[in-house]
Parts: sequence; structure tokens; C-alpha cells
Amino acid sequence: MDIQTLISRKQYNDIAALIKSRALTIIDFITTLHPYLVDSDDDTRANANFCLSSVIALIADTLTIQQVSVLLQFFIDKLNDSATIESSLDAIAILSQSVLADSDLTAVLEALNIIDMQVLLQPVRYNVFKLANVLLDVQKLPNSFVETYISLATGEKDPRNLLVSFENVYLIISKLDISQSVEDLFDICYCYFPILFKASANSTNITPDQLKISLNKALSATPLFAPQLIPSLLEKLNSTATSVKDDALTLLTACISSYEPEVVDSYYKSIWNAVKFEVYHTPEDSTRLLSLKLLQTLATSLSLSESNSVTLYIEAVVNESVTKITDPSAKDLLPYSSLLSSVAQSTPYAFKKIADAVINEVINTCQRSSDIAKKKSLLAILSHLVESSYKAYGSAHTDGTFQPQKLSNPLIDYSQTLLDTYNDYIFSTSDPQFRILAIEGVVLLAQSSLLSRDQLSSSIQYIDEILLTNTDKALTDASLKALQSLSNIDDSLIIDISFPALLSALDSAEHNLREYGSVLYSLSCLSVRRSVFDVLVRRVLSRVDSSSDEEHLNTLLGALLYSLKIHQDTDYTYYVSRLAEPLIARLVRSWTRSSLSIMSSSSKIVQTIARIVELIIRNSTTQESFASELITLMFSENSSKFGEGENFHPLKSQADISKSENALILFCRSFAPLKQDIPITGIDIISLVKSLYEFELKSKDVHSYRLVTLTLLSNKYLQDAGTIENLASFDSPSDLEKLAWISKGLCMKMHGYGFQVFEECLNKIGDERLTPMQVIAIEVILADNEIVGKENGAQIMRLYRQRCLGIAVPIIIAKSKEGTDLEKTNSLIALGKIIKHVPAKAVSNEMGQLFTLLLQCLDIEQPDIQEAAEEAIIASLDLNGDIVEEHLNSVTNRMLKLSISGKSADVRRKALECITHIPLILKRSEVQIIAKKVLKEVVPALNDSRRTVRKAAVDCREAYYRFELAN
Amino acid sequence: MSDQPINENPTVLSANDLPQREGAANFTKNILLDIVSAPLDIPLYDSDISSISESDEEEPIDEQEIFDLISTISDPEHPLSLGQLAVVNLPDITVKHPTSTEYGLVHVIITPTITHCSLATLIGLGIRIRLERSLPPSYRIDITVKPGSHQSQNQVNRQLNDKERVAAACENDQLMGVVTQMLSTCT
Repeated sequence: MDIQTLISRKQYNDIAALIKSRALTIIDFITTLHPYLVDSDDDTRANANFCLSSVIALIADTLTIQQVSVLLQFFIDKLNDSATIESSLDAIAILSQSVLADSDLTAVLEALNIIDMQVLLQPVRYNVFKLANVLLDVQKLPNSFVETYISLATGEKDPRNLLVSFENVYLIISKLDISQSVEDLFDICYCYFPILFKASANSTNITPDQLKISLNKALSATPLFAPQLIPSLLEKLNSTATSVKDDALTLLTACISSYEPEVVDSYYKSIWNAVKFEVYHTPEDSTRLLSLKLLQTLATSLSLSESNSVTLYIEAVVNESVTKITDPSAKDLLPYSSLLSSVAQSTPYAFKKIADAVINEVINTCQRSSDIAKKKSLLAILSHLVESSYKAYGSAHTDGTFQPQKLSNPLIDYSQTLLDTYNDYIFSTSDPQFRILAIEGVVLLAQSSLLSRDQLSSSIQYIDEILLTNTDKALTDASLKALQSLSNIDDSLIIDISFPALLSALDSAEHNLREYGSVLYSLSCLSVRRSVFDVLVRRVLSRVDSSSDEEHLNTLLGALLYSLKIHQDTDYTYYVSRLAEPLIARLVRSWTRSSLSIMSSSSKIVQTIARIVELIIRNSTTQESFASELITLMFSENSSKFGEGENFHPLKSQADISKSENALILFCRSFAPLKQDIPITGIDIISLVKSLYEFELKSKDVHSYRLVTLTLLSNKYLQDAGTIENLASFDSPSDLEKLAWISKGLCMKMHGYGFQVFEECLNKIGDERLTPMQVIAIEVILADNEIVGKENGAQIMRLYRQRCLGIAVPIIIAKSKEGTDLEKTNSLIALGKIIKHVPAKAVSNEMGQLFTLLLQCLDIEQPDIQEAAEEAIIASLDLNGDIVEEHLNSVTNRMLKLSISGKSADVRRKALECITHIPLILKRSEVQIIAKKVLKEVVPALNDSRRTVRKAAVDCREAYYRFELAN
Repeated sequence: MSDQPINENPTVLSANDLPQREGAANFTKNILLDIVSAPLDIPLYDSDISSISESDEEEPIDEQEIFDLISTISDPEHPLSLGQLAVVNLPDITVKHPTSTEYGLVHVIITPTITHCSLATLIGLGIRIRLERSLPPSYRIDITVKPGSHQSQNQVNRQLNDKERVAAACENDQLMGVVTQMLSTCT
């Protein structure tokens, strides 16, 4: 292909390749291009020049110094031509990426000197800035470039260009002597402060933050700007705009960090005087935090100065604060507290000075003061200081071993004083909030490794005492949280001190179940670490063996379950042999014994044990061996590791299950968490489904578990529905119930047979014999289930409910229009059940055809149906506002009626919430029509017997009063 | 209103410290049994739907409920609530329930933050409007300032409970604008 063609097709890479392979010389290439480069048409010249600069960019690394020189001169000449200036600048920048000969550099600089930026377009100006950037970066420039640059950058407005320009100023400051042009250089940056540019989606990708960072870097780069910059920034703090203040504070902080300490020294007084005002008075958190950071940076910088300014500065900080601390009328000390702790964190020296000046003063004032609010904020100052020492000087080891800190934490001299103060308040005050602050203080001290084990033990005893005697929820929670944190520092403290105290209280609380429960609750909250939980297990199991009362037993087991739920570990494999197996063994023992015990006969106890086993197995890695033992236990005549039951295989036959029905509960919950890929051997799933289907069960609880087990099996293990189709029977409600649960498992994994059953239930909606089971079946299939759920690894396809909805809607619409009375009512109930479980978003597409039916659902006197319909209508306000608007009158009337006559408080409350929601969404003109009526007719609900309903009525009226007033 | 607040340095209570319902209530039952022995909740054929009826427990309007209604009203000059400023306090609220022959009565005693607070009447008006909107018509509302807490106590009390003057105030758009602003924090 000839060169002409390559040029016309813009195949610059190919041209560059030819030149690099010496198949084409640069001279030949330029000669070919020459007629276009001098063409009279602007576009032609622009294209040709672009072509040349693009090719040069690709071959730049192969050019000789002479070639660079010639090309530079060529492109410099082309700068005078507005058609070629943009690509020429590009080319010059590329050529300048290696060090230029002096004469060439001079030529480039002279060319830049005469460029008139005012007449150029943004992309061209951008290239000028980029060129300057390359020159600053690579070449050794004369100081006269500062002037050149100032004239180029003056008046620039485009954010893209400014981003480069700020970067250039930074380079100029770092590399050149700017002393002759300080003011002008300062002006071309500072005139943009603060950055007001807001990012807009359409134009550039530049964010205001990028510009701010780049501008701040330039402005804080030299102390020569300081005489103008610092006073001006301090003045900006008077601005009413938070963003301006925040920008000024950020830049000031950057200046303090970058300037030499001696420079900072000369400004520190004026900075302190201006910025402290922000700490005390600003209502904005961002401004306060930035001010605190600034004052901290100031302290760090001054500490490096040779003068004694840092001492004076800290004295000023301390004096201001102490004056406030000791002033009895000053109530809000938070700003002073944060000021002290921020500055303290700057250096150990500052921390020591502040601690010396403040701690005793605070403690004494606190003792003298009788104002609770004041005392609290004083205590908060201490905690703030301890917390900063924790941040600045590291923390205790968290592996459960206690290691007092050897580092010189400046608070070490005060640890005993602080501890005494906290203990005093934990023990002797009655205000819970106050005691919470003190407890948190002790934890902070311990976390900062400021306390020895002995020192801590007295505090722990006090906190135990609180757990046993107090009734304030917040205080109890704080105490438990504190002991948990302390157990992370040293768990033996909890085992040796808290456990004996709580266990002895437990034994003496046996006659009082409420107290018994709350002591066990405390114990379980403290046992979130394995080492402590181990002790809990030992202590609880020994009591389980000696307890014969159902509620006591259940509470003991509940403590283990709850502790596992809030456990810190995530792998429970250790607890399989430690807890799950011993519990099952105990159950098996009590089932196989001839005399009945409470443990085996109470379905509640078995459920709690089964829940513990479920949780442990779910999070263990030894599921396979557990599964095989479980199956042996339940179905086989061989003995399992759980016990000697030769005659114990409860799920083997009807005769077996009748002896110990509760075993099905244990089986269901222990089998549920097994991962699907765990091999199940020793049982045939199909025959298990069949026998579960046929078992006669006496207990209703066990029957529920039978149903859930059917879903579990069909969802995880049933591959071929054909094998159970002969079980499919719509003959009686009880047959249909079992069929529904099997189908549920199938629907969840999108198995077609499940949907057939679902559809059949809808077709039989008018069957009197089945009523209401066919409607319940619909709910069974759609409802969430805690056992066959995501946590236990059930197969749940996201769209299965949507598919059910798709099947149901046409049938429901048809039946409710043309069916018998029973069909009409049942269809509405079915619709209620469906919207109760299908997400509102999924229903919103169908809302157009369903809305009038939904309104009729409100008339059905079943609270769950009414609630579901109310919720769906509230959701429709957001999703299908126009449909609600069409029916606004009926909606309002029905909801007003329900708000008074609804059978359950929730129905009445939700009706009111729906009405409240209306003015937030619908058009004013529509709401206008109902507003007066609502205000009047909601009044009776103000006298409802239930508090939540009254509150909803109050909110509802308030919303309409607001609406009226806005008119 | 001038730019300068009438009371520049009020005592402020933290929102957490205000009296709340709950608290000790959670400790009346066996907390662990509540957590662990929830029955397996599934839709069943033979469950009796009508058995899910509401407990008959009445929850009469009490002082705490009145406090909750009015403590969240904003002060007209501070960005704080009347509860936080201790203008309304739980012990200063009394509720008398209506009987078949008599109206009920809600009596709220307010404590202005300083004795010369010229906004006491405005605060009282805000509280009255809030309560009139929120209470059933069978309750009368009485609002007074705490004896000794305001220099023109009697005048303020008369003004707050004079039907004509309250009605006239409600006709005043500018005044209602301020009151709406005060009530906008009630949720």
C-alpha cells in the first residue's frame, strides 16, 4: 500500500512501523505530506499536521537530536496557524520529553512567551498547560519561566485546565526561584479559592475534590505565600457557608504540616485565636473535626520549633479549658473535652502537660459539683482523654492474655486515681447514665493497658453486682458489654470472678424464674469466647442433669442456645463433640429409659436441644460423620455413638415413632443444616417421605415438624417427582396439607410438579370439602420457613414466588368475577395470602387488575388478610400511585372504617398509616378532596384502647394539618 | 424576634436521659425463654384463625404518653426540644380520665428556662395546639406555668387558657407558621 493511501486512511501505526523499519524515511514522509501541510484549506492543513504529530508521537524515541531540532522548529512555526496549533503543541510536548538542546529549549520558551491564551479554545489551552507540565517535569528551566507561566495561566476558567495548572504551580514552586513573582503566582492560584465548581454529569470527569486537593497542594507548597495566605484564610472562617470554612481549615492544616516549624511559630497565636472559636461554637460536626485536626497539627508542628511556643500554646489550651471546667455555670463541656484530647494526642509532651493540668482539676470539680449534667460532662472529659491515650499509645493484647503496657503512656501515673474515681461512681451513684459512663471508663483504661489484673478485679466485682441487682436495661447492657470487652483482654477475669458470683446467684434464684432467667442471660452474654463458653457448658450441663422442672431446664438450655447465637467464633466443629453429641446422648438416654422424664416428654425441651444441635451442625466441618450417626440412631438397629439403643430407632416404623414422637423434632432440626453434597446413606428418601406421610402422630408440635421435614426432603433430596405422584391426593384436607408441604420444597427449586399442585389448589378454590385447606396450601407454598431456608442451604430460586403469582392472578380474577360465593371469598383470601408473601415490587405489575380485589380483601374479617391488603396498598402508593389515585375515595373510606372497626390493633394502626402516607405521594389536588374528611373522621381513633393506634392517629392528623397549612 | 436568643445558655438534657416507656418492663419476664422458645410458626390446617384475637389489655392515656406528645416540640429559639430544655417534665403532667358524666383533664405545667421568657406564651400555645389535635374531644386541656418560674405568671396563665385568645391566635397566619415550625419535629 502506498504512503498516500496510508495517510488518507489515517493508519498512523502503519506509517510509524514503515519508518521504524527504515522502509520509509522521515524526509520522504514529510515530502509526501508537504502539499497538504501548506494547503490553503484550514481542515486539510489541520489534518495533515495532526497526521504528522501523531506519527512523530509513535516514533519519538528513534529520533536523533538533529531531527528533534528540525521538527521542533517546524512545529513552533506552525503555532502561528490556528488550524495547526493544537496538534503542534502536542508534538512539541512529545519532543520535549527528552532533554532538549539549549537553543531548542530557548526557542520553545520564546514561542510560549508570545502565545495569547485569550484567543485560544479550551483544548488548545489544555495542550499549552500540558506542554508547560512536560517542560517543568523534564527540562531545566530558567527562572524567567515563572513570569511566562503567570501570563499563560492568568484568567483560566476551565476545570480541566486548572487541574494541570495547579500541578504546574506546585512544580514551579518546587523547582524554580519564585521570589521575584510571589504575589502574581499566589494570585493565579488563590483567586480560585474556595473552589466553587460543582461536578456536572455531562461535561468533565473532574471532581471538585480533585481540584481542591491540587489547589491546596500548590498553595501550601511555599511559606512565601504565608503572609498573604494565612490572614486571608483566617478571615474566611467568618464566612457563613460551612463549605468555605471547611475548605479554609483543610488548607490551613495543609500549610501547617508543610511549613517549617519556625514559620508556623510566627502565626500560631492568630491561628489559635481564630480556630478555637470554631471548636467552641460551630454547629457543624465537619467543621469541628477539621478545627480539632488543625489544632492538633499545630501542636505537632510547634513541638519541633526551637522556641517555647509549644509550651505557651498548650498552656493557652489548658487555661481556656480549665476556666470552663471549674465554672459551675458552664454545662456543655464537650468542645473543651475534644479540644484537650485532640491536642493531647499530638505528642507525649503535650499529653503529659494536659493530663497534669486537667485530670485532678476535673476529678475535684466533679466531687464538688452537685449538677448531674455537669458531672457527666466532666466524667466524659476523663474518658475522652483515656480514649486518646488508647489511640495514641496502643492497646492491650486481645488474645486473652493480659499484658500491662510497658510503653510510656502519659496517663500511667494517673491510672489508679482514674480507676478510683470510676469505681467510686460505679458503686455509689444511682443514676444509670452516670454509672454507664464510669463503666465505659474502666474498660477504656483496661484497653489502654493502664491497669493490672488486681486493679481490674475490684471493678469487675462492682459490675457483677450491678448485673445482679439493677433493673435498668441500658445499664445492664452496658455492664454486659463491658465484661465482654474485658474478657477479650483477659478471659480468666470473667471465669474467676464473674462466673462464681453469677452462678451462686443462679442457685439462690431457683425459686424465682424471672431472676433465674436474667442471671442465665448475663452468663450467656459473657460466654462469647470459646474458653468462657466451655466453662458455661460445663456448669450448665451439670445443672441440666439435676433439674426436673420444664421451665428451669428450658432456661438452662436456652442460655447455651443464646450464647451460641451471639458467639464470636464462626466454626463450631469443636462443639459437636463438646455439646451437640452429649445433649443428644442425654435425650436418647431419657427416651430409652422405662420411666418418663421431663427431658424426653417435653416437646419444648426437645425443640431447644434440637435448635442447639442445628446451629452447631450448620457451622461445623464434620457433617458427614454426624449424618451417618444420626441416621443410624434414627433408623437402624445398630447402635450409634449417641447411645446403646438397640431397640431405639424411632423413625423406623409407626410402632417406633409412637414410643418417642419427639425424636422427629430432633431429626428434623439436625438433618436440616446438612449440606446437599453430604452423602446420605442407609435410608431411602422416597420411602422416608412415604412413611412420614403416613405416620399417625398425636402431638401437634411433632406434626408441624413432620410437615417441615417433608419440605426439607423434597427440596434437597427428591430428584424425580414421579415417585411421589401417587401420594398426590386432594381427597381430604389432611392429605392436601401434606401434599402442599412436599410441593413447597419442589416449587422452591422451580420443579414443575410443585407448580401443578399450586395451580390445582387454585382450581379447587370453591371446593367446600377442602376449604380452607386449599387456601392454606397456597400460603404454605409461598411462606418463608426458618428450617428450610437459606441459612440451612435450602434450594430457593429467586423467581419461584413470581411464577406462583403468574399462575394465580388469572385464576383469581376469573373466579372472583364469575365464581360461586365461596369461590369469590376464597379467591380474595387467597389473594391476601399471596400478597402477604410475595414482594410488593413483584405484585406491582399486576396491580392494575388486582387493585379492586385488594380493596375487597379489606372487607374480609381476617386480620392477617386485612393487614396484608393494607401493606400492599401502602406499597402501591409508592409503586403505583396513579392506580391508588383512581380509587382514592374507596381507599380512604375503607381505611377510615378499618381504623375504628379493625379487629386487631395492627389492622387499625396500618389503616391509619396508609392514610398518613397518602399526602406524601399523591397530587395535592387529589388529597385536597379528602383532607377535611380525614381530619374529622380520624378523631375517634384518638380514643383507641391501644397506644400504638392512638399514636398513628396523632401522626395522621398532624400530616393532614401540615398539608392544609401548606396550601 | 431579635437575633439574640433570650436565654443564651440554657440547661440541656441529653435526649437519652428523657423519661421513656420501656426500661424495667423488659425485665418482667424470663428473657431467655422469650428468645429461645418461640414455637415453630407455620400455617397449619387446624390452627384456629379466630384465636389470633387481640389481648384485651387496655392501655389508657397516661402521663408518659402526654410527655411523648409534647416533649418533641421544638423550642422557638433553640434547635432543641422542649423535653431537652426541661420546659416540660414528666412529673409536671397530670391526667384525669373522663367518666360518663365528666370530661377528662390533662394538666401540663411548663417551666420557662428563665423567669422573663417572653416566649412562654408561644410555647404554651404550641403545646395546646399539639394536645388539641392529639387528644380525644373528651379531654379538657389546662396549661399553666410553674409557680415562681415566671415573673408575669398570672398573665401568662390567663392568656394560655383563654379560649377566645387561643382561637384568635390560630387565625394569625404568621403565628401559625411559627407553631407549625415548632411542631414539625413531632414524629
